[in-house]
This record gives sequence, structure tokens and C-alpha cells, in this order.
Amino acid sequence: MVNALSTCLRTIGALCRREMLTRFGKYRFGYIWAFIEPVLYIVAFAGVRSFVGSSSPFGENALLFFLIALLTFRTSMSIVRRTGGAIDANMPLLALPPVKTFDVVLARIVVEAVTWSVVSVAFVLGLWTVSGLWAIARPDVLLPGYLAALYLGASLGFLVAMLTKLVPFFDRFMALISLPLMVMSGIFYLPIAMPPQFLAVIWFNPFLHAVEWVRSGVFYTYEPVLSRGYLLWFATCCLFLGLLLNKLYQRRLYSTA
Amino acid sequence: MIRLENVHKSYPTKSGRKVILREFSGAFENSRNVGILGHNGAGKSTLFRLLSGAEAPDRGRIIREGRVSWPLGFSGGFHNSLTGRENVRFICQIYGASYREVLSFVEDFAAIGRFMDMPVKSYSSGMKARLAFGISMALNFDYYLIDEVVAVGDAAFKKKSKTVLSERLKSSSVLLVSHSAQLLKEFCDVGGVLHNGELVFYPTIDEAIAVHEANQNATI
Repeated sequence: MVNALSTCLRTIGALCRREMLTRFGKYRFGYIWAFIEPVLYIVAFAGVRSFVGSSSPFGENALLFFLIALLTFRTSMSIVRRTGGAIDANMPLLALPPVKTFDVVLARIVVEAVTWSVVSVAFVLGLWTVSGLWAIARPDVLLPGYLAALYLGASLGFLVAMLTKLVPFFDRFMALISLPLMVMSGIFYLPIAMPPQFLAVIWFNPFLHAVEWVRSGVFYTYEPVLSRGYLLWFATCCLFLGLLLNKLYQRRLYSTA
Repeated sequence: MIRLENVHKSYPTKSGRKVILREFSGAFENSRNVGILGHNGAGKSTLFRLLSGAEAPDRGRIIREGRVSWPLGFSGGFHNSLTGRENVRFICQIYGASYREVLSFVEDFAAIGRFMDMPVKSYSSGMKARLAFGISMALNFDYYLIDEVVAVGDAAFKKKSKTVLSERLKSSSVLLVSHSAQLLKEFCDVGGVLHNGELVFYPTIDEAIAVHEANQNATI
């Protein structure tokens, strides 16, 4: 039992190392890209705003409003996307008996969650340094919110990893819906100020709730569109569905043939 | 000992389900080196994946006493984007072996020089086989599942790999798949023939080879 656990931990450790080595091909540029990507969004956002000249959707610092939401969404979605491809990318390693599908998926979740947590902290600290504003009003709300975003990413990612292997073209489908989901996550606007018909649709997007949860940890007087229960139930259902598929289709998932 | 209890394994093909093993019970003992024969597509590779634990049977149990290698062949076990060295490190880590010792053995044995620092996808199949064989020989397995990769390359390398394998077989066993009767005779005590979902053991390798050849001729 202890032996099995230590083999499992060693395997996950080795897989994390392997994921870090290959995250963006042999140039190891991936980690810089993780920082550049949000900067590009910020530049685009600032450009549009200076052109349109609108005021901040909420609070004095529009950048903060936008950045926090973007980082939360990207954290969650990146975990989903990376984890979704975990099994396919590691097929040859599954020929090694100690390496199980579960380990492969878990390693990607860990690497992606750590990467985006570091990026998020760096940006919040960066903003603090540049603007002199301590951005976070209520860390006791923000932290659980961010953890919920990680949980959503991990659970949905696990389910997507199974579906990618079992349903043809599921990865294409995920690629297709990730942009609409981003638009529907309230990153660029104040969700509560949206028309009810629109709100009735985007309410079902779990990423919206993660974004709003984290935002309500940033601003004291923020009125979020938020159901913590919906977010947590959604993620938990994904996790159980993923575990169920893993159990039912174990042979098809494991089979390297 | 690797014991199989009522093991059933099949997989879907375009022309219906193909049965690899039909409710098979039996054992591979640790003092015996077994040569496995069977025509192409009989399921020798699948059998190895089952024995190693990389794949689960449809029904039945496989009980392993001792450490079983992964199926050593021309493919599988390596990540293509990682270099040879990084793959060695990965395998050492999951099997809890000393990276430095294994690496120095492998560098010396596989003799693929600067390719150790290149991604495995740039390797020829022979180089992959040398690397896989080298790593497995550096790790202490009780059972080696070897699919054709004992003797690849030039005469000097063939000799070297045979010497190393013979040394290992003083304390370990091998299950060997090969089309070379000579190689099977050299390393195996007994033989098993996988044919139409049945695995039948024969007390000598010569007998197994004879049965296999008869099967081959019958299907032609």
C-alpha cells in the first residue's frame, strides 16, 4: 500500500517534470508566454478604451476590474484545455505500467494550476507596485474564489480529458466554444448591469460565477452575479462524471492499440 | 511468478472482435525463460501489455510476484519530444532508480553519442530499441518482456547485448518474442505458441517452434 502510494507520487512527480519540459515545445518559451498573454490582452483593452473613451464598468480602476477577471478565467480555462489533451499527449508513456491515465491528468492539472497561480500573483503584485493600490479588499473572499476557479478547471478538465478520448472531434468542439465562453464570463463588462435576457443565458456559464466570486473579493461594494452553490455543484458533477467515465471505459482509455 | 487466472482479452477490429486470450489460466515461472511465438496479429504485443500491467484484461486476474519490465519493443515507453537523456531520467524517476548510474550505463551501452541530447522523434527505430534495451538492462527487473529488440544493429552491438542479457538472466527471466529461431533457442528454455486465442506451452523451445511452423503452413 505504502509502496503503491510512493510509486504513484514518483510517477506524478516525473510527469510534472516532463510537462514542464515540453509545455511549449523545445524552446521553453511557454513560461514567458504565460506572462505575455495577459499583457497583450491589457494592451488591447487599454487601446480600445482610449479609442472609445468610456469610463470604468465598476470602481475607479478599470484595469483592475478587467485584469482580475481575465486572470481568473484564463486560469480556469487553461487548466481545462491543457488537461483535456493530457491523455493523447502522453500515449507513449502509458505503455509504462506505472503510468496511469489518472496520473497523466493530475500532473497536467498541477502544472497548469501552479503556472497560472504564479502568473496571477505576479500581475496583482505588479499592479500594486505600479499603481500603489493594494488591489484586494477581502482576501478571505478572493482566495476561496480563486480556489473554486482552480477546482472548476480541474474537474471540468478531467471530464474533458475523458470525452476527448471517447468522443471524436471533442477537442475541436472545446476549441470552438472557449471564445464564446470567455465573452460570456463577464470579463469586459459589469454582469449585473446586463439586460435580463442576456443575463439569463450567461448565468449558466460556470466560469462567470468563478470570475464574479473573485471580483467580489477585490471590491468592497461589488454586487456580483454569483451562485457559489451552482459553481461548486457544477464542478463536482463534472468530477464525478469524469470518474464514472474513467471507470466505465477504463479499457478503452488505457488501451494503447 | 506471473500468474494468470481466467484471463480473457479481446479487442474490436473492423471485422468484429478479435480474441487474443480465451479464458486462459496458467503461469510464467521465474526460473524459466519463455519464447513466445505466434503469427503477425496473433496478439503477442497485447499479451505483453497485459503481463506488464499497462493494459487490463477484459475479465480475470493477473498476479505478478516480482518486478516486470514494460514491453520492450521498437515503440512505446518514450516521449517523442523529450531527449534520450530526459527519457532516461523520466523512467528512472518512475521506477525509483538512480539516474546517474542508469545514465552512465546507457550511454556506454547504447552508444548513440550526441543523440542522447536530441528528441527521441529524431531517432531511427534501431536507436530507440537500443535505448529501451539499455535502460531496461540497467534497471533490475525480475522479468524482461522483450519484443524483438535484443539484437539490433551491427555484429559488435548484437554480441554486446547478448552478453548483457545473459548476465541478467542469471537472476532474472525473459519472455521473448522473436522471429529468429536461433535467438529463441539461444535464450529460451520453454516455448509458448499464441494461436487463435489459445496460449499453449511446450516443454522445449524446439517443439514450440515446430508447432508454430506447422500453424504457419496451415494458414497459408
